[in-house]
Amino acid sequence: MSEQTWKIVSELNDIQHDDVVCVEVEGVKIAIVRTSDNQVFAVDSQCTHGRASLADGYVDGLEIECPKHNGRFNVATGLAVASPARTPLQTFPCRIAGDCVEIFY
Amino acid sequence: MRNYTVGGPEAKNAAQNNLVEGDWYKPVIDRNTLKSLMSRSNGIAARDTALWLVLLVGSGFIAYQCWGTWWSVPSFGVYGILYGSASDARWHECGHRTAFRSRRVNDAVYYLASIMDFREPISWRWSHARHHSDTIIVGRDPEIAFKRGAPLVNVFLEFFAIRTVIAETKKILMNSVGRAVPEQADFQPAEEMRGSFWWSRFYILLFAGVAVWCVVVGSVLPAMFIGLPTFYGRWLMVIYGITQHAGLAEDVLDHRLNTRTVMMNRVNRFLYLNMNYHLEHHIFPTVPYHALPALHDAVADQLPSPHSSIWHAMKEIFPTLAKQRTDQSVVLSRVVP
Repeated sequence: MSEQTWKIVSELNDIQHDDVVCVEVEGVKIAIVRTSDNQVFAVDSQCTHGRASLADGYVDGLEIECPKHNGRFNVATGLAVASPARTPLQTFPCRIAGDCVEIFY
Repeated sequence: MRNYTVGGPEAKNAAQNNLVEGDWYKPVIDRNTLKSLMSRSNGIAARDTALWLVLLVGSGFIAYQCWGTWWSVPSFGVYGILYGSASDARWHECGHRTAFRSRRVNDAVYYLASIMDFREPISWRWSHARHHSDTIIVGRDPEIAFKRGAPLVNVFLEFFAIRTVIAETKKILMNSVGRAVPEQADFQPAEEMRGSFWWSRFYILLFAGVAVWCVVVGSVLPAMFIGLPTFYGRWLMVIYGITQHAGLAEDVLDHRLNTRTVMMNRVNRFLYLNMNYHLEHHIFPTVPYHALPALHDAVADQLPSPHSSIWHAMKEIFPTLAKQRTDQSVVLSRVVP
């Protein structure tokens, strides 16, 4: 893994409000969530419960719902907030920089 | 007959054949369309739940007033369907937490419907998650209701919840003394057992309380409202449930081959909360029940043609179940676009 820095991962306009996209950074798939109030968050895209990509999930406020079993995670903390999700998601520092979204990775 | 035991020998075969937590077929759908279909609201489910509860209480009140006359038969017939059949769809939708936007309201209705269905809510939540991971994968899916080669009398008994209640009672009794049944341990994490143990104790207290109530008042009437409707009102849920997967393929990673969509009228769709769009539900479980007809339209060209009615589905299901009694290689095939 290269030295950790802020890396541009997406154009801001490529992520709709209340939505999620999947980006790949150094071989790791990361879900970037943009909320309705224009905050961005980055979490591991792999659900910790079942084999599913959260990038296909449903964003509701600060929560993302797994498309396979409806388990939910808080995207700010990574905590599992609704079963069958139990194990927290890994989170990554994420910010808006101009027209881009960056994560510290 | 195949060994359908969850965690049994067929589970190893499933793992060797890459059928565990597999990559399932998904139709192409525009992300904006899907996002719109996934959106949640409390209003529609509140309306449908209120109507269900009003009908439940109303039919119960009429049945109470008519007790001792023949009019109580149709009244309890309606009450039983709302208690023992319609509750299953509420259990299902609120178990997925897609009916309402509010998680708390979903959970409240889920627990109420679980009691009506006589299902211990914690273990069934995990059971259903497994059903969605490994739908009709033998040895993995704990919710394969119609097993190939099983006597057809089992289907008949299921109309009155006989086998289900026996199995659930056994589980509840074991859970109440802090022990899991073997299959439960395969899909429910050990850390989640404690909840099942406490719910099981609550169920025993609840239904023992109803039994004592009946003895005290010298009448079966209390049990006609709490407990017995699970038996006498379940038949319609079984008719709906048969249409979901029975007779279709096992051990495939394509819901189009193991799950059915059946068109139903408005009354059935209200009672069943649109779960007749079962294929669409399995492919996209984040879409709430009220958006399933629109989802169906959005992906219809990529799915097999739906059955035109319950009767149309039954005409292929029962002959197939009968043939599978002697030849378990018989399977209903599907033409996929």
